[in-house]
Amino acid sequence: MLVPIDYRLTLRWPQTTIRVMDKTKGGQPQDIVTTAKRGAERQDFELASAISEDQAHERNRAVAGWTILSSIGDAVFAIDTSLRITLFNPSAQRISGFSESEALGKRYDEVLKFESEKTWHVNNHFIYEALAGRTTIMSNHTVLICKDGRRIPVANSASPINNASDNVEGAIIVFRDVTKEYELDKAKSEFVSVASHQLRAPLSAINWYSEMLLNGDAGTLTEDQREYVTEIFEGNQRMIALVNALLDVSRIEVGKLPNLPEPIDMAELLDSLKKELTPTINDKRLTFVKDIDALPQVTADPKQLRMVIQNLLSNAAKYTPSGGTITISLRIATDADMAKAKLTSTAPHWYFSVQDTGYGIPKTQQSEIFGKLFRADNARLLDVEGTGLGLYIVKEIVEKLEGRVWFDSIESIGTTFYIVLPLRSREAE
Amino acid sequence: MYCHYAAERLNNINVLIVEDERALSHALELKLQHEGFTVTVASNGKECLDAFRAQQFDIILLDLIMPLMDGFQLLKQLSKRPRMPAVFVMSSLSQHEDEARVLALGARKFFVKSNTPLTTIVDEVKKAKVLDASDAHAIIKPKV
Repeated sequence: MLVPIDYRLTLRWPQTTIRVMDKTKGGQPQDIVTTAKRGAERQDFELASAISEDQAHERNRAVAGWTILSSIGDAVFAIDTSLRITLFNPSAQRISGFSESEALGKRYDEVLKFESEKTWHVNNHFIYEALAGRTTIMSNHTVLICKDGRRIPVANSASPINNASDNVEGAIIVFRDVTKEYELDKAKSEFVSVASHQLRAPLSAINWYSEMLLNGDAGTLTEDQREYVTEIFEGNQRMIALVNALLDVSRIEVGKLPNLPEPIDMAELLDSLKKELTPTINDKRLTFVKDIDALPQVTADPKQLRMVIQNLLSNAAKYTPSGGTITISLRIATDADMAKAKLTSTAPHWYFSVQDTGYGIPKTQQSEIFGKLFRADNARLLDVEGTGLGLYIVKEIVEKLEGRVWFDSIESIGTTFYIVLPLRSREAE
Repeated sequence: MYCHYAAERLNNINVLIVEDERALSHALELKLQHEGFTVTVASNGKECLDAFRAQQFDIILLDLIMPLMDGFQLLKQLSKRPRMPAVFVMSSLSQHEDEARVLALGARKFFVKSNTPLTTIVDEVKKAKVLDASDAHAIIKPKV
């Protein structure tokens, strides 16, 4: 380890005094007094003794830190506030294919190109967040374009580097190659897809034969028989819904959900979804309120859009007790809506919200609700049916379409889900 | 009686079910016979083509994934015939591409089996009959 120092030699035979000042730390000057050996051509001095213990400790820590950064299996690089790379560890070199000398001092985005895997748009968001003082974990589906043009999936996080006076003086970014995890995930999704198709044949058989029994095709049923067959039929319907949701999830995850945008008649879509919910709305005597002034002209993939809104509406109906109210709002997104959605795009967007007077989501579980197979504790206790996949599907689709979904919820008072999406969603790439 | 009259008329309609899952073809067969259709069952595309050697069918209910010859290959063969029967595809596949592909090959409708009640399929078959009758009428009607 080389340390830049200022020094002054005072030669007064037979003693030599070397005044040493460590430039890196700006510490107090230290004197080394030594006795010169007659006839010696060179003499080594124990420099460590020339610096204070604090400085030595500080220096050892710096050396240890650098050694760790160099040996770590994850890529690490740091940038200053003008986006220039100030540190580029060996793993960053290995993963990206760029050498340290090709990286240091350059703007990071001239060297490392991060893109969103789904949209192929440049993804710089996490770095700007870090420079704004916030630690961010990169969303899934980020790819890095390597020196040789390969696109590899990476997972990363970025944090601000604060100086002693707590000002941000750069950012440090850690990322790793997640190709293996990614392939595993893909294989898993494909397995789900094949297994689900295989499950559908026996489910169809149960569906059709119980339907025939209920229709009296094999003779009139007794009251007990009708009750038991109804249980079989309804249980099977739940299983079919679960298999359908699993298939949707696996299609979303392997990127096989088609995106074919077309103009949507929002009024018709909302009416048909409301009609689907009519049995629940009537059973629970729910009030359904529409707060819509002018319908925005939305262009989106009809199946994807239906999945998003259908999941939000059916959740509201499911998790609201009898006599409750569901209020939907639909409009062109205002600046305030865009700010709440934390979207910076200048393209026109639309806003949709579903408010219910339902059970609410327990505060402690609110961070988990978009996770796969999540069911809130109160929903489980209340024995409300659900697959735990609906909100995961909603979030995946909304984010793929470059929109945002979020919610407010107070237990026993109700929940509001909000989505903001571009008026025109991009064609599939 | 109305029912008797309807059954008598539908008796002339030959429906062919092409489905390798015995339980499913049997349920459809029972239901359609009950409605008065004449029903034949084939368990794959090859059997379907063999059945066509013996007689004509007006309506085909077609599964997609089957051994020997699948529904896609069969549709290609059927579309080469001078008069293509009305084909309703009922499958466990549910991807957009599959639906688009069979519709492009001339199928009338695509049902995901597990998501479709038996009565919906039977109703579609009955509707197809009415439609075809009026089509036939339109064709036969001499130009004035």
